[in-house]
Amino acid sequence: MSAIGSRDSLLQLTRSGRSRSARLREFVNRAFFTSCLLITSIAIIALTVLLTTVAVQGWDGLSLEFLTNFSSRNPEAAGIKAALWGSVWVCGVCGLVALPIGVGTAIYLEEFAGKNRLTSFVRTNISNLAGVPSIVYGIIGLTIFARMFGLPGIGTETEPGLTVGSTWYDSYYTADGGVAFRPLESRGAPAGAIVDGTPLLLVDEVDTSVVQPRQLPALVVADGDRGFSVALEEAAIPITIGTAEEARDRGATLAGFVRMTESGNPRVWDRTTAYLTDATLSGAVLDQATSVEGRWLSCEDLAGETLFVRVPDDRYRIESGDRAHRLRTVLPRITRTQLEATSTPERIEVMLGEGGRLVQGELWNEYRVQGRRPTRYALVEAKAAPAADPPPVGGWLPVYPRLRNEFLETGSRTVRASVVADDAPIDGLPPGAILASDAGAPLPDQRLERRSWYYFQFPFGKGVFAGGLTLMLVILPVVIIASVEALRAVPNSLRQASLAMGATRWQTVQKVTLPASIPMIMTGSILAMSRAIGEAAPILVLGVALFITRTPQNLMDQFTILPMQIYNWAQRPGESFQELAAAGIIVLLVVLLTFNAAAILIRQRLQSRLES
Amino acid sequence: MSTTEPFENLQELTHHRGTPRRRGLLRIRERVIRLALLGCAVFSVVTTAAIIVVLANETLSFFATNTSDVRAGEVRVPLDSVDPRQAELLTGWNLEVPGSPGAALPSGSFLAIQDDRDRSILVPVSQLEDERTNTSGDDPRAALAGLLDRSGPDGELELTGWVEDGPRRPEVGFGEFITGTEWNPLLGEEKQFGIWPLITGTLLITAIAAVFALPIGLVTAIFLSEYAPMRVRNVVKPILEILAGVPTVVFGFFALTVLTPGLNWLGGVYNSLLEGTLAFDTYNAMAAGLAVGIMILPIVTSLAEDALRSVPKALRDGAFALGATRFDVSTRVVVPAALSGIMASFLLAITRAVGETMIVALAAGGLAQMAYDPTGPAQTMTAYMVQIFLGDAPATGVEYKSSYAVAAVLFLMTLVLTIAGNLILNRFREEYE
Repeated sequence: MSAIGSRDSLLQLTRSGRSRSARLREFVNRAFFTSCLLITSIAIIALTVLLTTVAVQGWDGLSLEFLTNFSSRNPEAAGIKAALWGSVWVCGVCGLVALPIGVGTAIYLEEFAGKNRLTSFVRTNISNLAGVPSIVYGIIGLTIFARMFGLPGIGTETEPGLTVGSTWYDSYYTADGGVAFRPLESRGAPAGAIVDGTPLLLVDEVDTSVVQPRQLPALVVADGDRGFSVALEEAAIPITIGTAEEARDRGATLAGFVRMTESGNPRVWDRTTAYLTDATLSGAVLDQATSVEGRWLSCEDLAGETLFVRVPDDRYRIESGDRAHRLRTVLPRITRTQLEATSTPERIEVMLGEGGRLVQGELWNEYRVQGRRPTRYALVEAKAAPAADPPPVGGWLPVYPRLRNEFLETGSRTVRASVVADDAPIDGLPPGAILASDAGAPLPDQRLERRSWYYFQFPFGKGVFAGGLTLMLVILPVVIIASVEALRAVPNSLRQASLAMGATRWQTVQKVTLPASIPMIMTGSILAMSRAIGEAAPILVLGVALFITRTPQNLMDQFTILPMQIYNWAQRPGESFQELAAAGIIVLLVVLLTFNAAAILIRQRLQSRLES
Repeated sequence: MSTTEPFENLQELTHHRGTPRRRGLLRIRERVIRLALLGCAVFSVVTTAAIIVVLANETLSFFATNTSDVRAGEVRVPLDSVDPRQAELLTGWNLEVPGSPGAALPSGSFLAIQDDRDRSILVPVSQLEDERTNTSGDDPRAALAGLLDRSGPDGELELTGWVEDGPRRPEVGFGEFITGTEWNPLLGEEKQFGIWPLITGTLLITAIAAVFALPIGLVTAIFLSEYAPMRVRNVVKPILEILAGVPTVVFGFFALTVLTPGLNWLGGVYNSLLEGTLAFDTYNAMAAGLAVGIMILPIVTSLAEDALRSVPKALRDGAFALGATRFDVSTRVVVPAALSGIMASFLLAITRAVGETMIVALAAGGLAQMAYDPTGPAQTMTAYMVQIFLGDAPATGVEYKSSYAVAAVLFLMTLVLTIAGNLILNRFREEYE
């Protein structure tokens, strides 16, 4: 309808004035005003009802614990710590990328660009981008940022082609069912023989709920005025068994050295003789080696070499499973009934197999029930209390290194591990050595990754960085549009004056237009950021895990955000989860209102000065 | 930062004539900055291009997914009976066992191998993965040949595959997708990919939202621009701003915990008065649509108010001078004059409603059907995408790819609406500027 049309209706009015009484028209006007009031109040009522419901439902759930606890399957203990920190990280990344690009685009469009087709195309494009549903941006983020189109040669999210700042460990089963870790140079490093002096660490199953200080078998090596010092396993590495390969190369036909098993399946060799040496297997040494007759389990280690593990005489059943499991079940299965009382210490042989080398030691074992899962403690032979009566040099003693918890990434999941604390190293265990993991089931032949705070990977995966970039796409048009409006509001006379004085365009922007428009830009940016804080759909599409109980540790780390956490709770049946959702909403709304208030404050403070 | 600053800076600039060398440096700096800013501006164009490329690419691969019926159970093919030259490479395939849908069969690339009984056996290429890296070639057939060479004439190595049973065919045809009225990709005997149930679900929710929000939003805008005294405006405007800032997941929660019980209560009153049988499901389109309506209400109001306010005051004064009441002025002069702006505000609000995700994911349920029943569940396009991306489907299957095709349809719908809205908006801006 054009302005002419409006004039036509003006003419009409004069006619209708005759046909309808002024009184009636006045009545209609009054009635419309009243209904306007009523209808307008619908929005107010909706907001009031919404806020009241949320407040009533969520008020009880609000507490300090709610802010400092992680999410939990138990509604009583659930909190939003992970979600809060996740939101902070993601919105931080989002803001750091979106604001410069957005303001830059606005400056280009308003101050630099000529009036040509390209400029108007960019403008149209931006206003169209603002209308794209945020879930579509989520798909773009997933395909580009998290996966980089799945292009060949650049790796995948879980096995990125490029990583910076991660340390890799190989995990092994040890002969007594524990897990040993060995640091590696890189993800692709071959699982090779252990280098002398590299700590190979023995880890047992630990209860998932509590990672407790582990008792480690330690050898007392010195006893002095200030107490005694211990070493781990140092003196207990006497025996090496040669590999089958080497034996075959020598052309020797020795009992106990059998040909390589093709499939890698362990086989049991009954009553075979193995040659035990204390050095690497050279011809001379092998001839002098002691032979031991017994029952052996042959298996392949990670380097593809055949190992022989002595099976204790009283074990005859060997269960099937993957090769690590067969090794494990050399030892008896522990049942709860057996464990009610502390069992009689049992002497078994423990071997750590690695790269064709067997390390044999003798440990006393004691089984205890801790939590739901039986946990094995390796105890020392000398049972005397360490402080009161230190055992003689050469005896065994439990030591309790100070531990801290760390999170380790496997290919598919995160496990919590106990790590020797920096300030409490003990001999043989450097700070940072991994002692225990709560992976639940041990990790057969897996590579573990420990990520430092500056860990970076490409493709980015479904981490904080990809999430932030995705949200950046969502708010970028908002930032641009707000900034363009802000720059437009600067009077043209200021610009012209600056240019007339010989300033370049950038100098004009830097010294004149940008300072004048910064309050409006800031207001727009803050409002855009509050949009980012409340946005859930794109992050949901990115496929972040719904249940996360840790804060992000680096830019590539898993995360959840507050709206996702709320969604997670709200979609569950059950009153208690609805209350949690409401409590989460209160926190979210408080954050958003703070942002809005800040925007309003800035607008009023800075803008009024400019106008005055 | 004070107001005087720009002026002081202006004065400062006059002292900055500088030497020719300095001016040269300035010029280079100017170019660099200009280039950087141009890069920023190009970024949004790149974003659009990326959206189109990603959606088009994945949608094409959705339609390029083929399927073949196989007999249940794996078969082993001795390697020595295989002629690698006759193996046919099939990429982007799904296998299905007739009568047992959803059986865990791999999807992806296969080699179709003829065995000695002339059956066609489909062998997943993944079995040859190790050999492929050895021969450093991308062709699985070369890998197969390499494997044959290494295993020797009396090799015991075997491949496992499925016996092909019936003709090969495309999994989803474009025609079926665009005209089909059954959407059932995850459950049931036969997967069906007809997009219309999702479109009607989206339209149902959008219609409920529009019927609720557009009149109310327009009347509120008229009230704010024509009637409201300054004091009322100062109260209502911030409230609308707060309402606009509420995250959509909150509206979803609101729909689930307040609107649905509220609707059921109203339904109960209606039933007892008129002996009807009105009952709303736990997840229903009505509550979700109303929540979406509340969400788009501030958008309609603020855009429509902008349009109304930009009508020149002279038109109003003219009407008043002719003795019109405020109602006459509003409905006969201002609204017609601002009609294009109001239409644009409607279109942009509807766009938001079409693309809204979290509310429908929470409150509308997940049943894709062409029922048009506001009391029952409905699934929108966005809600389907949420369902898929939350992990209801394996990331390689055709169901997963279908979400990209749905996203492409959604993108096209919203793009058309946005472009139309912006075109109208720009035209009406020019009219009065």
